Amino acid sequence: MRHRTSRSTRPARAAALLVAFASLVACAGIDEGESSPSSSTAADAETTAPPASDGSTTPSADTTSPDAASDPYLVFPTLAAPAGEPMVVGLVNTEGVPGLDFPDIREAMQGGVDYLGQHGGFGDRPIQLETCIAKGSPESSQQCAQELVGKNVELVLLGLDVFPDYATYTAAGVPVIGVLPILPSDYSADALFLTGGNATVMAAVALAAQQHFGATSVGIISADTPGSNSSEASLTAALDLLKIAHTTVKGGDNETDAGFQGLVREVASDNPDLLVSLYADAGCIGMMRARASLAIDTPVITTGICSSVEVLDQVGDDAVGWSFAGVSTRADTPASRLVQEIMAPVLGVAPDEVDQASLGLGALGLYLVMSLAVYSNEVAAEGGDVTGDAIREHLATSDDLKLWPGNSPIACGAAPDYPSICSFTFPFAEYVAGGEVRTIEGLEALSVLDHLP
Amino acid sequence: MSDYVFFMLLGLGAGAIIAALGLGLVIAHEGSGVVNFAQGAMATWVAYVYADLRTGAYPFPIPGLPARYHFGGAWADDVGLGWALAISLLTAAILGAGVYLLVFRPLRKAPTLAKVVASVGLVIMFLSLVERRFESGASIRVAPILPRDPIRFTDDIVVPRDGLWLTAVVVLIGLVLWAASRFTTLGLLTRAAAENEKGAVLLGRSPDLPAGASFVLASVICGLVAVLAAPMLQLGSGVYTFGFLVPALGAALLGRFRSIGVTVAAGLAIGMMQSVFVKLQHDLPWFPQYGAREGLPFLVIIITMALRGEHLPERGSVDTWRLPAAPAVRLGAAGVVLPLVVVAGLLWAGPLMRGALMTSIIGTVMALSFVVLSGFGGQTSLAQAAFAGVAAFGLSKLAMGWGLPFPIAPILAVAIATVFGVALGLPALRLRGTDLVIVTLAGGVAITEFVFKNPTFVGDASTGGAKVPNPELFGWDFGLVLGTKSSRPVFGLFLLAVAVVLVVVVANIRRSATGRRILAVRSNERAAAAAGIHVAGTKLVGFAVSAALAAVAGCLVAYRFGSVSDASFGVMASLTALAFAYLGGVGTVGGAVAAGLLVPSGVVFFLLSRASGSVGPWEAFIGGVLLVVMAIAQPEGVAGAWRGWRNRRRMHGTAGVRVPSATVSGAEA
Repeated sequence: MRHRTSRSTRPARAAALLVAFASLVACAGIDEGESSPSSSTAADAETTAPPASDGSTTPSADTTSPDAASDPYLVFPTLAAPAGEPMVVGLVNTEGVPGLDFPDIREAMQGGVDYLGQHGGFGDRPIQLETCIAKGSPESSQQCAQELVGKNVELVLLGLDVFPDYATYTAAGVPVIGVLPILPSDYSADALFLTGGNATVMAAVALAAQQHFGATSVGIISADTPGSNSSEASLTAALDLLKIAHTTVKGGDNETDAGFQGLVREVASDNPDLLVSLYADAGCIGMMRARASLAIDTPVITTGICSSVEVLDQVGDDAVGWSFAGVSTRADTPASRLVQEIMAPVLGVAPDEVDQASLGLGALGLYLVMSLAVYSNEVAAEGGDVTGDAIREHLATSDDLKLWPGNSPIACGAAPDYPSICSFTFPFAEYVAGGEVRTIEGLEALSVLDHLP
Repeated sequence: MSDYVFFMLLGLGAGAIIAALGLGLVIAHEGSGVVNFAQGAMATWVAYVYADLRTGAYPFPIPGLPARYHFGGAWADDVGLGWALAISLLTAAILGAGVYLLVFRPLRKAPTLAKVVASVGLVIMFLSLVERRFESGASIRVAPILPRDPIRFTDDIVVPRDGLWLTAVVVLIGLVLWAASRFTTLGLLTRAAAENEKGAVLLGRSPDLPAGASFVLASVICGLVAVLAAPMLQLGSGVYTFGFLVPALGAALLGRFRSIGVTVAAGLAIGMMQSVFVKLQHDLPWFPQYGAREGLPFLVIIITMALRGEHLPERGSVDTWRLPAAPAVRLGAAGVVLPLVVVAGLLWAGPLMRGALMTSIIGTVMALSFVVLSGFGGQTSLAQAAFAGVAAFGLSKLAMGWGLPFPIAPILAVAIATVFGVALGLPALRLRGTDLVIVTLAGGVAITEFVFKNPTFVGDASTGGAKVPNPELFGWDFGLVLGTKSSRPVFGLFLLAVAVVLVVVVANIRRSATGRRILAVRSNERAAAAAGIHVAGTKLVGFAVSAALAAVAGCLVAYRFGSVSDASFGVMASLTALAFAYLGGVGTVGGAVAAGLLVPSGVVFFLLSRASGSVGPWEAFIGGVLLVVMAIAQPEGVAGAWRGWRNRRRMHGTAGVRVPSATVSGAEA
């Protein structure tokens, strides 16, 4: 039996989750087409330590297949425990607040740190994680910033922090790398975010509407909430750039199933070529059911949150005709098995019981930590000192970086108007009858770099 | 036309939920005089209990106990619809009785504000309870209970059946309640007590029975409808707690917290109206694009209440309406020493303590707005955070968009928020007590919906949100962060200077002729009018000053963080601000200072967290419990307790005479 591992609660700021899951599934689905060698216990595999600053390696007791060992993103099982000077890394995450409670992010990040404690650390430096729990208020986020700066952290990781105090980090010269941008100010903050956020996902949706669906008119269904309104503004700006006509129908934050029927019927009344749903959580289920019950066959694009197992289990084939931004085919790969291995002790289950599709926001935290470990190893391999600044600099300036564990390209600052964003390429997937979510041919990696509003 | 009928029918389900919660509010208020803001949160817990029972478990609401009891045997996977419903409703009944006996019965002689504070504490408790007990998935989809296959009225009008069934259930409940209130002894007693509690007592009837029964009944009705409606939506901790409760307050308000029929009709109408707005928004180019759905009903409510003329009836009470003491303040040793201590802390304490001090200073300014309005004026507003938000977003627009410098930008921002305050104060000319609480809540919701949801006002990704520059005067930057300095004491001193000035202003208002007029109106409007005081003008002055003070707090928040977010200024923020202002004591500037010290992330919280460490995931729950306990144990707030203790000590020391609590009636104040 698959263990459901999602511990995410539903935040008031639905847009944050919406984007988070879009980004999450973008990460989760990037292993398509990889081979499926055996798990990392093969006794005959070579062992490798993380490259030290001088580029040398030391033996390790861990083993894996030769293919994986040569892949910097999958090399970790072959790496020995780090032996360098500990790196103090700060982590800010929001927990314990009704509506804003994301312990799964911290736990997954801690799980990644624990794993790296046995497998290479950050460029052979053990990671000492200093965690500060924000309480969903600017005051608590600022307090966390002051606290972490006071502890002389080399690097700050943002799990889900609604009000990061960038000014404090900048003044103290501490680099900040986050999971995903939430508020509009995050896009131009003095930080780097490994996933794209609303603005880039919406640009991808507009581009897919034009390139794949050939849409000249789009109907948008959106909740009338600050977060969704901000998403809608991003989407309509992107559609305007592509000269695609659009109309918007706004619903409430707490719609009944019947209410969703009204929204779908109204938005379809203009006969648009394509619908875009900006609803998340319950809205995914309500929208899918409403469209099916009204027998409307206009295709719909939505974000990755609606492709979650929880949603598709509920609606079944009512999801036929729905496409998901930031999602690709899920496959059993070495990377997915590595995720299972790392998360198993966090969740207290056997590795094969870890269902990646249900990791929730925690997966984003894990991907962030492991991605930085890859970049740290690269810094070390290039002969540089592995520091928080060096990792940030490497992330900000290097070409050909990918988001762990796959091949989603990372290009921080590639869009001048979105200097903190590192992810501009998105796959799209569609639901096919029977329950499969499959990558759309031609939309495996849609770059929005030239199409951002 | 058929489209509009279609949308109206679609809105019936949501309308039924609103109507049911409205009914619960009316029943509880009729029986006890309490506006139970936790009604939706209690219903939420009942719905979660039902959902858990359908998986063969029962969640325990008490920290320390096992999270849930797992049934075995035939009930291992599902106890079944009937038993689940029965156990859920039994839970609702126990919950209603418990909340009344443990919270609101001890508060029955307390001021209205204390009850509001206690209900805010309950909301926090139930919210965190749901999130702790259902942390592996608070978003739950419940299997259908009511028939949901579509019903066809015409070819164009085909709607799900469950919403109509739910409407029928709620209307039936309304009819039964109406009949019970007319024709049963308990109903008549409840109505009698509502009209005149003293009369009921003189007739030998205890008001406790109808009060307790009303809480149980309200909890059961709301719990039942929450369970029946759960399959029609996705259960989440905030759905009933806020999403449907706020319009339900509107429905109850239109029913004057008394009329069952009007409340049910208004609830259904709000649901249908919100549904029809989808169509109107699409059809009418001029229709507001943001906030209309939740905001317009409240605008209608506010305007209706303002125009309707006569004030709403206030429930009779055995005790005289107690108002917080509002003595004139003289500068004592504490008034000199405290600012010096704060200055020392700002200059020499670490950045964390400095941050806590800044939070407390801003909290003090916000609490001062309640001192003027609630303490001096006897009015209550749940829109103070909204005023602060208007000023904060206004400051961002003025400073970043128009390039206006300090102090012109914040002065104008405060002026804008003050206009909002006066506009919302207009209904206060005709309303008072709990009715005013609800109308100001509606005003806060309307501001939140129309202003804070609109990217034009609050910014989006293209504008980088709503940023605010450092305050700077004659080239001197006194912002919190500058260059490599991330926690500059000078910003704290700036905050302190503003706060001290405002404390002096508020203290002087109390001593001035204006203050005496405000107090006179608070004590007895008719007597004040007879004495030649312009009651309406005096009330508006109170609202204007109060809104301006809240606006200053909003500007200070904006300057501190360098950007503004709607999340800081919502309805819950207003409720929390009121709760802590009340705990500090709304009658004096000393109370405001105490409130500032008590606010979350303020000095007291900071010191406690350093002394005892974090209490982990139950922190919010424990915070809610403490809020309730404080509201019960010390309704006069910390400042009132301190004043009472000092007076008793003084009197013991001089004449050995025991002096009662500092609680005094409005006339005495």
